[in-house]
Amino acid sequence: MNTLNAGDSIITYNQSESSLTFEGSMRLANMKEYDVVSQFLKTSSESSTDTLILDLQPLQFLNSSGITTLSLFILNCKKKGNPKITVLGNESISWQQKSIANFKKLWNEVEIKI
Amino acid sequence: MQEDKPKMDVLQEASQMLSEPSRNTKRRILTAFNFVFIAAIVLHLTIQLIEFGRLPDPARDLVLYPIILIINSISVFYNARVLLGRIKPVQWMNRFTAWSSIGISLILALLIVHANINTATSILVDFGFSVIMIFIVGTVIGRNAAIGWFIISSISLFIAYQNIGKNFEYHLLTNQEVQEFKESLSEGDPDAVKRLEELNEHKLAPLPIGLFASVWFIFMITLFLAVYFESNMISRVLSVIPAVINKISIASREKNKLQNENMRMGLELDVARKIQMTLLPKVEDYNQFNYLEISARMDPATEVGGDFYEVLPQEDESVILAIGDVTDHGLQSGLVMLMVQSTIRTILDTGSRDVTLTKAMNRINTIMYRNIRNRMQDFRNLTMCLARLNKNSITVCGQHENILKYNSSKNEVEIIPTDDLGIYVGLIEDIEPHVGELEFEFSENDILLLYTDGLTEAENIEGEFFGEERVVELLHKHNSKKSHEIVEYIYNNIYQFTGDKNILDDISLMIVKRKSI
Repeated sequence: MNTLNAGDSIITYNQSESSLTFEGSMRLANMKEYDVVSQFLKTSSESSTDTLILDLQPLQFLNSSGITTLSLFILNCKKKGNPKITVLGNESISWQQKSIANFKKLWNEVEIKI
Repeated sequence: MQEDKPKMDVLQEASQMLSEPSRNTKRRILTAFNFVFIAAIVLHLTIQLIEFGRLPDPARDLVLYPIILIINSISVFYNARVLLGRIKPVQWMNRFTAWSSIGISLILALLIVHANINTATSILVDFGFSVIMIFIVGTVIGRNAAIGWFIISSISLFIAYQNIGKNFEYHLLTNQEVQEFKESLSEGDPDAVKRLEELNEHKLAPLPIGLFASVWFIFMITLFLAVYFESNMISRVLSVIPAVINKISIASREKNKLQNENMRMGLELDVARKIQMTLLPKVEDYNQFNYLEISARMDPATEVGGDFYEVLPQEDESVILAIGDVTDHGLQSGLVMLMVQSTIRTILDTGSRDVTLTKAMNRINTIMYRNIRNRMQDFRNLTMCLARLNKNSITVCGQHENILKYNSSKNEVEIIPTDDLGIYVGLIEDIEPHVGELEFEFSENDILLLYTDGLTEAENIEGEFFGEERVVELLHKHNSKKSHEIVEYIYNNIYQFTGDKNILDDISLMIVKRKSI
């Protein structure tokens, strides 16, 4: 299990389950500050096979720079063709209600489970 | 498991380099002092047992020596383990071992002068321990303790001097005289025996010079070890000074760099704010047609975000509205906003009846993608809503925040989601499959409210969001007011809600009221 603290949030990568869990509220100031998150996602995705689960259910808030970071990660996986992405969301959280469906628009093979 | 270790800045490093040599000096001196003390007492008792077959007089030593041995052993056991890194230092143990070791030594220093088997040697030799203790007390406890001990030992010396009497003199014998006296004593010469009895009575029994030499040798070792660790510390401090100076100059350069960077960022923010505010439509642009009453306001955050809105009256008396939010903050976001504004205006200015909003949105996206990704080498993007206002209907396009509409016939506020009308603009080259339009009625006295997320996500001191529900309530409550009054009411409410908390994101709001004509 690898973890990354990003402001008021924690990302945990569980290699055995091939899942990335996002918890807390992520509102880093700008895209540059999200570089460390991008790097963590990239490294985790490289060691995961087949399907990677992005569990966003415990993520209460994500600002637009954070959404861009996740979107770019998904576009990158789309470009490489792997890993496949499954997104677990929580429709009672407003940012997820609004933004989570966009991940499927970016890559049709993304599976969204709400 | 990855851990974020706090990074030490250069000034902290410099401070640590300077304090490191002195960090354990006191502890080393104390531990060496404890060792010497234990060794000296064990040696003393052993010699006594071998030489005289019994433990020493006076009785004071039989009480004091076990206490000294116990205290010094505890101190050595604790401080040596700290020095070896086996245990972490504990504040109260540091104090206890230092004060108890030094305290018992000071009591001994006084007793060996004033409760001595030989009055003359107590001033001649034993007082030397009080002198050494001035230095030890000063280094282990501190300057004030050393001053205190200096005063006490001065008084002690004066009392010892008074006790022995100012007329007392040291009369020394030659080796031959000593030999003759010893021979007379062994032959039982009554004069010699009587002389020895008198000497013992006055606590002036003759002592071998070896005893004086060994006592001074112990004093020397004690002082030498203390000086060794103390001077070692000074030389180590001196040796790190060039490196420390280097660190301080690095820190100074970093500070200047930071100041310059702050100044540059401040200028950038000024420019960004100017771009943002200059490009917003002027009030006279809003209300060219008598069927609409348009009001808008944008309050930039401390660090400028990328909000914008646009009002473009058309030749056919329709009006194009745009509202959007560029990701991130600062000058780059300001530049993206500037490009979006120009592109919208190029595509949708005045006579754009033939351009559908979907087509406009796709064009804007492609242009923005190429400029941001290819020219700026950046990943900024935006959410944006385009709207065309006609006399009885509104068409909207693009994914942005929910649109609120006050429906006057039903006297209720409708929430119109835009999630299915688009995707982020400028993130991918072709968004055509995801863009759609939605048309809804806009009748007399209806009100349209467009906002950016800075409004609903404005936080109060407890971290609670202002939220859409409050906006809905305010719109409903003030529906009979003029559009600019509704804008003011909403902003006043937001600032009452946020209180002293800084505005983290731009807050934009557009209100369009369909007047009855």
